[in-house]
Amino acid sequence: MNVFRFELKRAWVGALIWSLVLTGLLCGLITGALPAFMESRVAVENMLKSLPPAFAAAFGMQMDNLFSFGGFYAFGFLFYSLFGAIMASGIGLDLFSREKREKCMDFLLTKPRGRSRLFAEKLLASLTMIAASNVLFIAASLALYRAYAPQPLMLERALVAASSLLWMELLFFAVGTCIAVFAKRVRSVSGLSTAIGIGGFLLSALQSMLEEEKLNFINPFKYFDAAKAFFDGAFELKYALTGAVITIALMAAAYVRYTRADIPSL
Amino acid sequence: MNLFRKEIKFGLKSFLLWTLGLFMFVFAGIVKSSAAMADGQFMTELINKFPRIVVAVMGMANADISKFAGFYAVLMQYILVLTAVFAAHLGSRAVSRESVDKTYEFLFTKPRSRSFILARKLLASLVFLTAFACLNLVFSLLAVKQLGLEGDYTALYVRFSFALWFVGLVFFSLAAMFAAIFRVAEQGARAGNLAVMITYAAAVVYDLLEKPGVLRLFTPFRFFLNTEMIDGTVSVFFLLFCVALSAVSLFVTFRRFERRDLGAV
Repeated sequence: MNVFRFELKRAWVGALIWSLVLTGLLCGLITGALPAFMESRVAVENMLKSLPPAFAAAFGMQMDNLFSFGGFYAFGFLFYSLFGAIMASGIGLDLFSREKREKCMDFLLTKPRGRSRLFAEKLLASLTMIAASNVLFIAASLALYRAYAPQPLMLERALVAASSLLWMELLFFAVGTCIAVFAKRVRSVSGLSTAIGIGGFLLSALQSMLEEEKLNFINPFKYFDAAKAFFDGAFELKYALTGAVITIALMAAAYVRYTRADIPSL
Repeated sequence: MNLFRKEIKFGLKSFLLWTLGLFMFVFAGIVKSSAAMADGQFMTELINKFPRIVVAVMGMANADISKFAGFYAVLMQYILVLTAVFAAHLGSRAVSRESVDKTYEFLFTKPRSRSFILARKLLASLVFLTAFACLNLVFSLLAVKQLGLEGDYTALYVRFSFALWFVGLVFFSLAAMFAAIFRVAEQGARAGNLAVMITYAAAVVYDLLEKPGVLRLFTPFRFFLNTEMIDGTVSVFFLLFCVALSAVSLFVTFRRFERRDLGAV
């Protein structure tokens, strides 16, 4: 387990900082803005009364969802997703391109350990960090839910919604890993992971601007939709499945490549 | 010129990728604007009912999206973030690529001073930044033509494209400076990216506060305010501030780069 220990030691500080930023953002948004947000419901409802009834009815349907803990929680999710995506793809890129970046592939691969073993240990180290980060995030989500949501509580729904960050992060972790393994060289982990995160953000913004249902299939932030989970208790199957398939396919591709690739001499 | 040409050739691929993002975003945004403006009156009123923090986080503060100009301003806020990340990437790459690729011994033993080489690299990157801002203008014009909007908004696009360039320049220079200061290239790149994120957070806080005061000095994202851009009353002070900030950063970059220990990562 040397590789596992080594990777963890190298990367845990960064992961910890990201986790704290993420959880801090969540706590800040909910404690700072949720009460004011709920109060604004009266003003919005008054305004709707002055509108044509058909219009108000169409919008009013969503009022209960919008002005609830779940609605506000999901609203912030775009930002948690962005940060989570940068963190997770960064972990994948960092760990799996480390030897490539430092040009010491031969050092690691001449050790008496199979490549699948090395891959597995790196994978385990990454998953440990992602899981630990999400334990923090989910615990904070549930605590806030208990503190701010009205009775009756539906903890399992909150749990599913909060877990959507984990699934999304795994997807981005797979993207980062795949790039790290396939790219000829990785120049800057933070630069590339920021670009991946912003890329996801753009795809998501694209979908919400065009409001084209089909575009959800290329919107990685919506494969595991927190709002959907909160109001229906489960993710939408077709998108969740798309996300899961992509994640597994990317990881499998990365594994095959990592265990078979030729290592260029320096 | 060899160096300059090589740098352009090298950066072309990533530039095209970033441009693709810009293209998608501008077109999708502008095509959508007609629908957004249709219920814009309602949306604006609705947004005003929400607490300030929600509006600020959505990036909709100080913009009237029932008008095309206001909608475009909101769109440009996203493009501004995109440009900032791209510019930071350009800046840190210009300074530290040879170290990362371990080709620094090859290049810096050539009979040219470090400053000479760095200047060509930075110049090539600036060409990309300029092209990016210009393409924003072109895409905006083309997209709006599709829309068949009445009224001429060319001046608005030009102003925003200039704003993109100047804000990009600030982040470009900052990232270059960080890359020159930090010994480890990854740390420099990280500092450049962090600068974008922290100043963006500062911009959200700026929108949040009733009287932000001096906070504006700390976030390039608010050097050019939406209202100013729409009215055409760009603050000369902040324009000069952009230039000054970049000049100082680039000066530090050259000084540090001239004297630093060049090494592999």
